[in-house]
Amino acid sequence: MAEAFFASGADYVDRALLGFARDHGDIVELNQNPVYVTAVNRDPRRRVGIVSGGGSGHEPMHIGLVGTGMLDAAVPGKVFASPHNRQIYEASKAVAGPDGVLHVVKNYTGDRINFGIAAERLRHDGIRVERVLVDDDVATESEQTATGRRGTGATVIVEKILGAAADQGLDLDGLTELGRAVTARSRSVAVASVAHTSHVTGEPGFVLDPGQLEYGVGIHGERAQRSIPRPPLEELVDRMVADVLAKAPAGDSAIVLVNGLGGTTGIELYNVFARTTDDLADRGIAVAGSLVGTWSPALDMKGFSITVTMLDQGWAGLWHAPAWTAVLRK
Amino acid sequence: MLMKTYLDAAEAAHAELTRIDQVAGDGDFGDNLRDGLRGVVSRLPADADLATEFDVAATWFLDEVGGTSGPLIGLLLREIAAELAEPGDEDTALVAGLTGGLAAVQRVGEAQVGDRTMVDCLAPTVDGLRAATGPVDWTATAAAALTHARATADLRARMGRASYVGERVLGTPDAGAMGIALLFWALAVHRDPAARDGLTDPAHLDG
Repeated sequence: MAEAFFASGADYVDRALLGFARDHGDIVELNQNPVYVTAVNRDPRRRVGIVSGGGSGHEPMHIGLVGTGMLDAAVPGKVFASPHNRQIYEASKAVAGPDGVLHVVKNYTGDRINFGIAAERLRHDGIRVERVLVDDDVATESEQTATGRRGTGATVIVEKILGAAADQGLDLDGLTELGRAVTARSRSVAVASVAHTSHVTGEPGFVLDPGQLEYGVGIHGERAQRSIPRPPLEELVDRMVADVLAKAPAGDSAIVLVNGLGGTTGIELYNVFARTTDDLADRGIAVAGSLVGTWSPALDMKGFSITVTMLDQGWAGLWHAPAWTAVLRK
Repeated sequence: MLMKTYLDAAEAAHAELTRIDQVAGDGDFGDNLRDGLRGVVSRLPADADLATEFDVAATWFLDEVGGTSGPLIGLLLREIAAELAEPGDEDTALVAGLTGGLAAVQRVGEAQVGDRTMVDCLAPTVDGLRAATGPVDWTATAAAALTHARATADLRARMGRASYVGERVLGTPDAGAMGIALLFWALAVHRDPAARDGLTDPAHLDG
């Protein structure tokens, strides 16, 4: 049993948001009913409000990415649960620009439906709204399901590039097209050696046999379709990079995200990143930008994901454009 | 008052809705529908016209009702409210609103006919309304809606939580589809209280 350090009672997600907002009062403002976070400052050229969100337990995503050059609002649900449509609707109304709102949504059924209902309500009010659906996880690519690939780490890269383009005054249609293009050129895969601790029971979400590794986990503690004998790290990273690149478009320059799932240390993540960049160099792919750290965890799962976004023309400039959020600063 | 009639049906059907939702989902559909309608009825002024009834109900279901099906029902009610707010014939507005509501529910929920969702009651019932000529026969429409909802018992789920339990749902109809059948029941009884005698008692949805 590994008890989390949550406030007493059921409102520990709201308490965490309050703490976050107090810590970053110069960057974000917290709305409490319904719950959402908005940016204090935005580029005056921005014509479209960018809103993202999803379940809690993935901090700093998405609240940590609200601010200049990135999101205008983030909408957190309860742990591993989609936000309610009213939160999304009200947050979107609060930050809509003269050219409307763009929703960045990870591909999960609950998120799709709740963002979808909010979008219907916004259109009913005469506010333009479009959606970029992020679906980068190759572990869930299957002909047998209608749900499609899950949305995971690539969301951070999509949000950075879209934020920069929005600051340059790109309109809603242009941003939507760009976001879909970035998503189409992004792929991820994740592994775990120890499950997250269930926020309900305090017990591990699942138990692995000794020497086993879960290959293809999701960010809500979902198990993979299969466990594999745990290989040395070099072999593991080689396999992950190969699986990601097999499903990504060809290219010679990429942004790379090595994302910790909550229980993985910095020294581990940099080991992974070093091997990942070796692999990419061997294949003639230059790393034009990178993030290494805990960006979208699954509570305290011990594991990591590798995301590769193959660059298109102009994207490197957008990636390196200024941003000032709680956790991503350029 | 139509929403009071819908609430009466949801109260009568509560146990049945909970039982059938427990087979496939988390069993909260009966609670969500009943409690949502209780909230609506408690907020409606006594002299509310039909457009106001649907408008208040739409906002309440969108803002306050939990689960996925609650806000989706809110979307349907919102489209009906918008049509009723325009001047013109009430039946024409109801059919147009149901048609628009079906489209909105499918845009957002992405369910097709045959996926075992509320769409399996709503789509064929709306098709029947649109194909009919002459005055709308709401009693026949309500009976047809219940038949369509019951037919979901033969469907495996492709969408929603029920998709995880495979064949175990076969033989039990979908709770969301039944919730929509109750709306048509309420429309029929609202139009003609005597219709109640010729329609299935909501306490016995499953036949």
